Amino acid sequence: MRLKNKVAIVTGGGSGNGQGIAWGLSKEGAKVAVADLNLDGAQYTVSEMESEGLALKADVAERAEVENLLKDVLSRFGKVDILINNAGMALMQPFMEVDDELWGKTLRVNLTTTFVCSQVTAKQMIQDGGGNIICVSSIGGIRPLPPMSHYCAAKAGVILLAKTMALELAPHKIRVNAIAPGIIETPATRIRTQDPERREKYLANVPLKKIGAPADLVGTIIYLASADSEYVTGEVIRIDGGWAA
Amino acid sequence: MLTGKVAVITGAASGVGRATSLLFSRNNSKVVGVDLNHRGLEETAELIRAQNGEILPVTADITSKDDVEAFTAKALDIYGKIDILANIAGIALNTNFLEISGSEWDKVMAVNLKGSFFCAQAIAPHMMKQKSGKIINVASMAGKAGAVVAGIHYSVSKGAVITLTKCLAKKLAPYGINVNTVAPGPTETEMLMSFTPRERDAMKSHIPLKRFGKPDDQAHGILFLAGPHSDFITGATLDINGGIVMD
Repeated sequence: MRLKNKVAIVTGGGSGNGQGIAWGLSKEGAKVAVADLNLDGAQYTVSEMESEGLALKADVAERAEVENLLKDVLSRFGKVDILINNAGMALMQPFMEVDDELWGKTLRVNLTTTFVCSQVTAKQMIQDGGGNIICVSSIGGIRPLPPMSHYCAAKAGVILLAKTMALELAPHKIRVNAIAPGIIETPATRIRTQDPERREKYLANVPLKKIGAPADLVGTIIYLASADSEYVTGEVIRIDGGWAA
Repeated sequence: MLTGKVAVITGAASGVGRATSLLFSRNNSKVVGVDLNHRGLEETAELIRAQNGEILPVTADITSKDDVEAFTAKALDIYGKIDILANIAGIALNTNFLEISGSEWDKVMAVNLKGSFFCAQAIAPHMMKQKSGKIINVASMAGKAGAVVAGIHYSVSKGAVITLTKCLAKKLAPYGINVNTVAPGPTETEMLMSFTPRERDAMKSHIPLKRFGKPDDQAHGILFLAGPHSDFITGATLDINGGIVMD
């Protein structure tokens, strides 16, 4: 129970990685607020939690909605210790066919959400004397992954945003780190990971010859969220079966 | 977290090696503690036994292939298996670039790089047979940023450790073996005490988290990489440095 009495917010916690992370945090004793555009998903996540949870519908790229979300979390749980910036999206599109809408949406859902949620939450964390922010980037934030130039740009942005935040928020006793998952099978990615040809291509790049699952991310999240990593900040931990080694 | 596991930990006589041995033992691992420093090793052993842990102390020189093969055989003989190798033994010499002698260069490379290589080489075949294992190498922020602390030979040896990890990770992944690196920042050990107070204060002012690392900070990172929570992580470097170097 390494996170007993801690309060965590997980954005995009209604499915996939966010759901797995929310469950993992709750197993370690944290109270978890699950925010998602899809309230049903968030509610399902909370219903399967081992500890107390709160499901909230929010577009976490919208500042006003994030401020309301935080208000609800504080009203219910009294504080926030951990923010997991997991909200994201990944659509494939060859570079020459990426239109302005896809570009803007991808940056918005992956990078702007991280910015808005971190800034709003950090304001509270600064008042409360400290906190812990973990951003979900991707292997695509470190290595180029055609045909996802828009996604890679956004995820790379998440990494430098996390590191710069780490430097600026260190005086306020807030640690900021990131994880960079490799290929993880979720409801959103299943259409690709279950396609035999694609799957073989993915596995060829992964030394451990395995497609990841949301549960594979949990251990690292717990390490970063707990006092075990109290000397770690501005770090990006790759969870990719060795792909980007 | 490590119940039933057998861990070989080099550099167990002091600093990070000792802290790791104690932490692993508290997590129910059996420890094979290796060091050239016999007295320090005995002290570590006393501490472990005082907390009801089990340790096989081995006084050995990791730069000697014979020594390494001998203690590997001994560990396998007594415990029947080795699940984890933590290559923590290392030396940091502060000699100025223009004054490093050939023999000093060789010595630093031997302890920091060749020693880790020999241990991995001796223990990996066993892990390959059992189709599981975890190897954790210890680099340094110096291995990434170069010349931030200690001599050039130290930085170079630690940079090479990062590459060694990547090679081993790729070679051993087919056997279900994870190989990763921990890269410490300035840590409160005897090594740090070899610098002057002014050098230490200068270092601290550059650390975002405004303190030196404790051996336990590194030990917890090594534990994370040795345990089941990092099974999908391999070939990676975990910086535990208070934010002083971000790359």
